[in-house]
Amino acid sequence: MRWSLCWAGPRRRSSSISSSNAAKEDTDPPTSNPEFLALRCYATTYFSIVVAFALLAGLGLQLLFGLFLWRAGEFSSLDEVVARQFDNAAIYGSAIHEDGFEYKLELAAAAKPAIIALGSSRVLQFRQSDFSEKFINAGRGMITPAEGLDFMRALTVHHKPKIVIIGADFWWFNPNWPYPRRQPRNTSLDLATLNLAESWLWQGKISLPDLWRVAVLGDVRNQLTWHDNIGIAAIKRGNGYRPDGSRDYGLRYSGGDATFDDQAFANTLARIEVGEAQFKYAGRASAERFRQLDLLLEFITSAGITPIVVLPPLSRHVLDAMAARGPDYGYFSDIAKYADELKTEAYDFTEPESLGAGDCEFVDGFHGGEVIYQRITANIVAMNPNSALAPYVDPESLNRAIQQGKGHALSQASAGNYTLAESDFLRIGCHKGS
Amino acid sequence: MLFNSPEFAFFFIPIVLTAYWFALKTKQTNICVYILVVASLVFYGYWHLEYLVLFLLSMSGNYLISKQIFGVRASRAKGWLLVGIVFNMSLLGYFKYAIFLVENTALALGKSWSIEPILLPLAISFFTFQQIAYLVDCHKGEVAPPPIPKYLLFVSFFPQLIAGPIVHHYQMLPQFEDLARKRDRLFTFVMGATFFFAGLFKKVVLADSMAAFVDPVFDGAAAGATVLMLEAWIAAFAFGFQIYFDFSGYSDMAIGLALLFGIYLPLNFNSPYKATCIIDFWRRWHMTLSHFLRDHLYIPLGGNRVGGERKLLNVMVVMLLGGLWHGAGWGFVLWGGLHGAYLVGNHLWRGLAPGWSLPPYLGGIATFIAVMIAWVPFRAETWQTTQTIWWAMAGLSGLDDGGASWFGFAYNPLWLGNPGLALLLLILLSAFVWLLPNTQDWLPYAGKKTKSQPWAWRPTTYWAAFNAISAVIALVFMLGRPETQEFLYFQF
Repeated sequence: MRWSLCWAGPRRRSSSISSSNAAKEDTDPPTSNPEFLALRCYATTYFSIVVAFALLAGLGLQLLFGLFLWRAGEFSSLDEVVARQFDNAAIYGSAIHEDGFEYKLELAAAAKPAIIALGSSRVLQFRQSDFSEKFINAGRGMITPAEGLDFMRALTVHHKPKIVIIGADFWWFNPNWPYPRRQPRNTSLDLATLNLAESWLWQGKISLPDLWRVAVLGDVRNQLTWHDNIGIAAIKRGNGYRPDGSRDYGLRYSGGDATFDDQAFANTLARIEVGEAQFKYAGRASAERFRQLDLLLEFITSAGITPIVVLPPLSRHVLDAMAARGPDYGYFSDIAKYADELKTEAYDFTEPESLGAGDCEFVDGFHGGEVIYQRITANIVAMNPNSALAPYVDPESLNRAIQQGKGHALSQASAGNYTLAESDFLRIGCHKGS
Repeated sequence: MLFNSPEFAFFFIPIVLTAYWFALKTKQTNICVYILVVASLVFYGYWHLEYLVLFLLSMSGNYLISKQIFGVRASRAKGWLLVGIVFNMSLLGYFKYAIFLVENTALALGKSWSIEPILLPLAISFFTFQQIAYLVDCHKGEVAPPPIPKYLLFVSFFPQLIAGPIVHHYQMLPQFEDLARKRDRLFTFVMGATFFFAGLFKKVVLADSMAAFVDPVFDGAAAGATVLMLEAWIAAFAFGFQIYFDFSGYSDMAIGLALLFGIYLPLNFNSPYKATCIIDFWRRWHMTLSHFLRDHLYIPLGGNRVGGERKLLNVMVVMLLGGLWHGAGWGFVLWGGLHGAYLVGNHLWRGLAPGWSLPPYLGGIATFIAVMIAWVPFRAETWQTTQTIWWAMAGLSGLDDGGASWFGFAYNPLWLGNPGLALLLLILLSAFVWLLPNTQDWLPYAGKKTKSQPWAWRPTTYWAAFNAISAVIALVFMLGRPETQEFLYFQF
C-alpha cells in the first residue's frame, strides 16, 4: 500500500505510551522489530516533509506577496499613479509608502490648480466639489511648517496657485512635539517590505482570497465603490486619495474598517490621558515654531499667492478631555492669540460649535468629516465676504449640501459613490438615517 | 519565553534537547535532571530575573518545610504544615491579591487607601498550588522529600511550569528515577513532536485567529461604545473558542515537550465543549485544577458526604474560590459564581428529578451556551464591559445601527470586519470541537489504545504527511504573525 509504506504489519505489543510502561525491560530496540522500523520510517518521513514543506512554503509565500504588492500598484511611479487617477478616477491608497510630500507635489504640479489646501491629514476633507475652480488637496504634503516651505518652493517652480488654504495643527506649536523627519519614498521590493505584506495576512488585514484576487487575477476593485484602486489600503478598505487629493476613508464610514480604533474616541482620549503623539502636554507654545509658520506665509505671499490660515476643529469629547487637564494644554491660548494677530486671513475653528457642527460629523477625535470642511468653507465666506476664497465658492449650493449632510461625516454627494451607507461608526449614538 | 515564539522553538528547545540527548548517552539520570533544572530556571528567568529570585525562595522554603514535616512527630508536623500553607498563601496573597484586597477594603470602608502596583510573578498560582499539595501529602506520609535537584525539577519542569497541567509529586517524582532509560525513546520523541505541533496549531492557527473577533468588541465596550446584539454573541462565542484552543493548545504543547524528554504529564482537557451538562463540563475542562480543588478544597469541606444544602454550599464556595484563583478581580469571582450557580442548579435538577434528563444533544447545547455566557465576565476587565456585552446579547442595545443591509439586517460589521466570515469560522470551530476526536483520542497516550478507530494515529506515511503539513502550517502562522501572542492563561 503506497500510503502505508512505513507500516509493516500489526504490532506485537500495544502502541500506547504510558508511565505504567516503566516496569518494562530497558534495552535497545532490535532493528529487525517491525514496530521500531515503522516508527523510524514514520519519523524520517515526518521530519523530511516538515523541512521540505517549510522551505517550499517560505519561498512560495514570498513570491506570492511580491506579486501581490506589484500588481496592487504599490511600486508604480508617482507619475503613473497620477496619470491613472486622472484617467480612471482611481483611488490611491498605499499601505507601504509614507509619500505625502512627493505624491501631492506630483499631483499639484500635474493638475495646476487655482486653489490648494495644504497641511496635515486635518485638511484632507476639503473637496473639489466645494469650489468652482480647479482645486487640489495637498493634505499630508507637509507635516511641519518647515516642510510646507519646502513643498511650496518646489511647487512654485512648476505652478503657482492663486490661493493656499493652510490647515494649522495645534501640535506644530508644541515645543514638546518633536518635528518628524520626512522619509524618502521606498520603491524597492526588499525582504522587509515582503515581511510587512506577510504580517498583514496574519493580522487579518488581508485574506488569502485577497492575495489570490490581486496577485493572480489582477483584480484591484472592491465592492465598496467598484472604482479603480492603486495600493493595498485603497483596494482592501477603500482608503486613499481621490484624484483631487482629498482623503476617502472608505469602509470606515460604514463601520467595516476593522483597523479603525477610535470608537467613542477611545484612541484619541487615551493619547490625551498620557500626553503622547500629537497630544503631548505643554504650558506655553514655542515662539520658534510660530516663526516657522510665519516664514511659510511670507514665502507664499511673496510668490503672489494668497494664504488663508485655518485652525481645524477637534471633537467636543476631545476638547472637553483636554480642558479637564487644565494647564497641560495651556499652549492652546497662545495659538488662539497668534492666529488672532496674523496679518493674513486666519480663522480659528478649534471649537466645533463655531461651525455649528457636532461630534457625529467627525471621522475620529481630531479629524472632521467632509461636512465639517464644507462648513469651514461656508463660514469663511459668510464671516468675510471679502475673503480671497469668496469668488470660488457658491454659498447657496454649499449650504444646501451642508443641510443635506448634517450629522454625517460624508457629504451626500460623496455618499452616492458607496454601496454601503454611513453608519454610527464612532458608536456614540449618532442617528445616520438619510 | 513563549512556546510559540521563534526563540523557544529554534534556540531554546534544540539546545536543551541536544544537551539532554548527550546526557542520555552517559546513562546518568542525575545529569539529565541537572540539565532540565537549569533549562527550567533559564526558561523562567528569561521573563524577569526578579521572578526567578522569588521562585527560588518559594521552592527553598517549601523544601525546608517539607523536610521538617517529614522529620518530626505527627503532632509537630501539623504545625509545620500550617507554616507551609501560611508561607505559600502569604506569597500568593501579597503578589496576586494585595492590591485587590486593599482597594476593595478601602472602597467598603470609604477610605482612599492604595498601594504601589506589584509585579505579578508568572505562574505563581500554579507553583503555589503544586507545592501546597506536596506539603499536604508529606504530612500524610505519602511522599518523602526527594533529593534537592529532583524537587527543583518537580516544581520547575518548564513544559508545565507556567500554565500547568498542575502535577502531583506521585505523577512526576517516580519518572525522574528513570530518565536515562532507552525503552520507547523514539516513540515518545515522535509522539512528543506530534503533540507539540498539534498544540501549536491550536494556538497559532485557531486561537489567535479568534482574537480579531473578540478584542475589538470587548475593547470597544470598555471604551463606552455601543455594541450590537450579533457582534456581542459572536465575540462571546469567539472568546469561548479562543480560550479553549489557547489553553488546550498550551496543554498539548506542554505534554508534547515533556514527552520529548520521556516524561508523561497528566491530561488537562477532554473535549469540554462536548459536555452534556455542567457537571460533565467540569470533568472535562482544566481537569488538573478541578482535581486539585476537589482533593484539597471540596473534600476537606465535607464534599458529598455532608449532603443536601451543605454540599451545594461547598460547591459554590469551591467555584467562587476557583474563580478567584484565576485572578484578583470581581469578573473572575462572577465567572466562578455563575459556574457555581450552574452546578448547584445541575445538582438540584438531579436531586429533584432523578432519571429525568435532557437528551444529550439538548443538554450539550444548553451547557455550551451557558458556558459561553459565563465567559463574558472572565474576558471583560470591568463590570461595565460585562454589562454592555450581556445587555447587547439580550438585544437591549439594538439589533442594528442603521447602516447597510446584511442578510436582511440593517447592520454594519463595525467590529468584526465581516460578520459572515466570523459566523462561518464559528460554525467550523463548533464542528471541530463537537465532531472531531481530541488529541488524546487520536494519539495513543497514557495507556489508551486507539488502534481500532479509523482516525487513530498509526506510524504510516499517510499520517506522517498529514502531521508534517499541519506542523508546517502551524510554523508558517507562528513565524508569520508580527507579534508572538501570549497564552491567555499566563496571567493566572
